[in-house]
Amino acid sequence: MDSATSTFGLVERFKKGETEAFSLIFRKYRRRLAVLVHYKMSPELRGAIEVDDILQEVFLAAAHDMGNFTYQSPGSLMAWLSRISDHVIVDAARYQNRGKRHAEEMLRFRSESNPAGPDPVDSETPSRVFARTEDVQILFKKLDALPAEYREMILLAKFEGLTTKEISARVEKSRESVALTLHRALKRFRELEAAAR
Amino acid sequence: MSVEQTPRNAPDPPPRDEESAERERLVAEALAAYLDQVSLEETVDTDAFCKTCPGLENELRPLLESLNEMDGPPFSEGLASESEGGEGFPERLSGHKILEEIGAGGMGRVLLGYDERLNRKVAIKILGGRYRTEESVKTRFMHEARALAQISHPNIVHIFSLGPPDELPHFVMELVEGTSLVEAGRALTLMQKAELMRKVALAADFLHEHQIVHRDLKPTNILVSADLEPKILDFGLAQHLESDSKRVTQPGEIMGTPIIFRRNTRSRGRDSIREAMFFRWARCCTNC
Repeated sequence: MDSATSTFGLVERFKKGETEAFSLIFRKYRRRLAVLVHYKMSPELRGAIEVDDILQEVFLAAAHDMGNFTYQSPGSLMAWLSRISDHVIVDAARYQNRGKRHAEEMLRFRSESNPAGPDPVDSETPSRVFARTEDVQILFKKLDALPAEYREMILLAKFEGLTTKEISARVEKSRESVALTLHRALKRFRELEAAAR
Repeated sequence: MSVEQTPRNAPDPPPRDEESAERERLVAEALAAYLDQVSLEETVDTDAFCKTCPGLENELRPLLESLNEMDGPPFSEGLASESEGGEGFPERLSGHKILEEIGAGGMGRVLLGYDERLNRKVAIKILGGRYRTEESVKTRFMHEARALAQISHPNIVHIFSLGPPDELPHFVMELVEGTSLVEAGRALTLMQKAELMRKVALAADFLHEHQIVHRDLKPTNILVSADLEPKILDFGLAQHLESDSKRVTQPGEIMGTPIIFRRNTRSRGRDSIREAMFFRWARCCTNC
C-alpha cells in the first residue's frame, strides 16, 4: 500500500513537492473519473461542456488543495476527487444557465447569426478525441444499455472504487444483495459485449 | 444517473431453483471478494484468483475479464519516463554518434549525440518505443520537429534536421546546456528573473506570430544558459493554428502537463489559447 506508485505513495510524493507524482495521479484516475463525470452530468450539460473541461477543473482544484487532503484508505482519494467533481459540475451548470441569460456571449464565433465572428481554431479538443475513442464509446454504449440499478452498481464498484461494504452503506442494501446485483450487472454487461462482437 | 430505463433493459428475475440460486450466490460472493481486493489497491492476478474458487472458474473468469477490460490501457508509471524501461539506443542516429541519454519525457527520450563532421554536441530526441507503432503519435512527434524547423529565435531551441525514415523516429536539435528555470531562479535577483520571464514572454509571442502555440509551457520546458538566456524546449504538444492537418492528439490524453492545465476552459478560439498561454507563463513566473 505504501509503495511509491500506490495512491498513498503518490499523494505523499506530491505533498513533498514532487510535481511528477501528480501527473501519475492524473493518469491513474483520469479514465475512471471521466466515466463518473460523464454520468454525473446531465445530457444538456454534456452537450454544452465537455467532460475534459470538468476534469481539468477537478484536477486543478485537487492539485491546489492536496495539502488539505488526508489519506484514509485506498479509495479516499477517488472519493475526494468525486466530491470535487460534484462541486465543479454544479458550478458549470450555474455558469451554463448564466450563459443562457446572456446569449450574446455565446456568439463569439462565426455562425449564421454572427457572420462576422471569428472561426473557432481550437475545436479539436482532447475530450472529443477521448469521446471518439472507440473503446470508450463502446463502454458508454454498453453502460447506457444496462438497467439503471446495474449501471449504478458498476459505477460505484469499478469506477468510484468503493468496496462492497461501502456500496452497501451507500445504497442501504445488504452486502449480499449488493454482491448479487453486481454479479447480474456484470453478467448482463458480458452479454452486451458478446452481442456487440 | 442520466439514462432512462426501458422495459428492454429491466433487471433480471431471480433464479427459479435453489441450486441455481446457491450457485449464483457463490459466484457473486467471489466477485465481490475480487472487487474488494481491487478497491483496496491490492494486486490481484485474475488466474490465481480464479484458482481459489474451484468449480466457479468458468463463470467467474469472463466476468473478471469484462471488469478488467473496462480499465482501457493499463496505468503505468513508465508513461512518465521512458528511460525506466531500460531500452537501449542505437550507436548512431542521422550519422551522429550517440554518447548517452540526457533526458526523458512523456513521448520519448533525449540523447546526447556528437556531430563528428562539425565537432559539436547535439541533442537528439527519439520517440518512445511504446509509441512507434501508433501513427497518430508518430505524426505528432514529427510535427514537433516541423513546428520548430519553421522558426528561428534566440530563445527557442533550434532544430538541425529530421531523422531519415529508415531509422527510429527522431530529430536532431541544438544542445542547450543550462539549468532549469526553477533552479536558475533560486540564484537570481528579482530584476534578473523579470528579465528572464520577459524574454520567455517575447519568445512565446514570437511563436504566436508564427501561428504556433506551445501548449505545454512550464518551468521544466525552459532551460536557462550560463549567460542567462532562456530557451523554450519540448514542442511535443505544439499546435499550428492555421493547419487542420496538424491537429494531432493522442487518444484519451489531455494536452499539457496536468499540473499546468489551461485555465480558461469556458471559451474557445485564438483568444482563449493566448489567455491559456498567458496563464502558463504566469505559472512559470511563480516558479521562477
